[in-house]
Amino acid sequence: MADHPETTSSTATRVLGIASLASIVVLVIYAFAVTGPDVRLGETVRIMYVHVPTVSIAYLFMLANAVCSVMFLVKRSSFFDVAAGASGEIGVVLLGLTLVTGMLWGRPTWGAYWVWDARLTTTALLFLMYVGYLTMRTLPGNPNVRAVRAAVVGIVSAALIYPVHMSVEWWSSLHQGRTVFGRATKAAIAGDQETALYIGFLAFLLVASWLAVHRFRVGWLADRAAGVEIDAAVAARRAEHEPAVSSLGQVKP
Amino acid sequence: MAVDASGLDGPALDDDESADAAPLDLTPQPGRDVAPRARSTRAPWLKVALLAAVVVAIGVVLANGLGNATTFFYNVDEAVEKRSEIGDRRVRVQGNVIKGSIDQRDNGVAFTLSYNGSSVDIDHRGDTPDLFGPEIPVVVEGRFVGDRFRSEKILVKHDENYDEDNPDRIRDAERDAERNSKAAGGTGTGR
Repeated sequence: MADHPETTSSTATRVLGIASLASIVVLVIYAFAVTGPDVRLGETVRIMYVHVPTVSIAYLFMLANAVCSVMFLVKRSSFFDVAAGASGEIGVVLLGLTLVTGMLWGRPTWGAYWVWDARLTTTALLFLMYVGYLTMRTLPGNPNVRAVRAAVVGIVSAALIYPVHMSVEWWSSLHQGRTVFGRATKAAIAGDQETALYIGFLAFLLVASWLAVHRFRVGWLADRAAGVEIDAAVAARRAEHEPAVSSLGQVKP
Repeated sequence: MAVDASGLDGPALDDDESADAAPLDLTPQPGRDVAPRARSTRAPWLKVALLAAVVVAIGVVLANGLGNATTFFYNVDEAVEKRSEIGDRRVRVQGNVIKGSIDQRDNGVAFTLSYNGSSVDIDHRGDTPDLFGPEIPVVVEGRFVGDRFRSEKILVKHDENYDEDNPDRIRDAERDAERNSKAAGGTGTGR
């Protein structure tokens, strides 16, 4: 990165951006043209090709947030603090999309936008934990202390992912069981539908990674910019003290 | 770091007194690598209030969820087994709608719900979801009245199975529908 970058993009992010766009085009073709309506759900099954990939990639970025948080606590390097923040933001956005698409699917299928079953309740909790995490990162105070606290909240929040994923097995839930990750023996999905899901995983992974790299770079620059201001203030103060230091031992007039 | 926010504007704000009274601590500190952020010094109370709101929201979710979520419904066989324990409490019961049991009424629908060898008769008041029909797993919400279950809400439970509609069958059905409507004089009342 140059000293005064005018953009957060690079060859790598441009390639990632083009790949994201291409995968979205393929996903749209698969979701709307290649796959047909579901035998029972009808057209609303197409929501699944966004709903399931967004939650899966949200989990992935929340895990990335936890890994970065651990690395920050070990290394105390702002690189990992900024990286954790960027992953957390992407995770919240994706999980928000999951909640919205799920509600849009739930109304025509279940007959309700929202029910307080195990999967929906734990997912709402997970979402709120990360909203809280992001809010914590903006609280005023000592930035080092804040970064440590945020890292702890990030790690604790990630521990919720497994109960959310398993909630449909552990408790009776209106939400259906797992079809893709840890498929139940009775679960089944048509070949084209499964392919569309995997294309969705790839598309949202690429889009989220592209966003995350840019978000990280913006965060990093903001951090440096804040550091430059502080360093300038410190230097100015130090400059004031210098005459006194050089005249040590001399009696002040 | 002991840098006063007022110092951000440079030495102009500094007076001699404070310079003498509190020399700046410039010793290296662990974690110095983490650069402080200049933002979020304005309106700290707004942020604190936001965080408090999130905490309250988590509390509401927990209170709403924990009582409800772990036993979102009883399966029909469980509900029948625990009939006396349930009493007239408001509960949810899950099962499959028995084919041929659906009886449309003026203000609702009656049907038999079955699961794992047990069944219960349901009297439902109100609308039914679009996907409601025979051999569909549903969750009914309401109370037992005698041996029957008076439902006030039906939720259709979709399971973890997905399958594509056979496109040939759709095409056939569309052709049939077209032919039928022509046979009915194109009035479209064939349905």
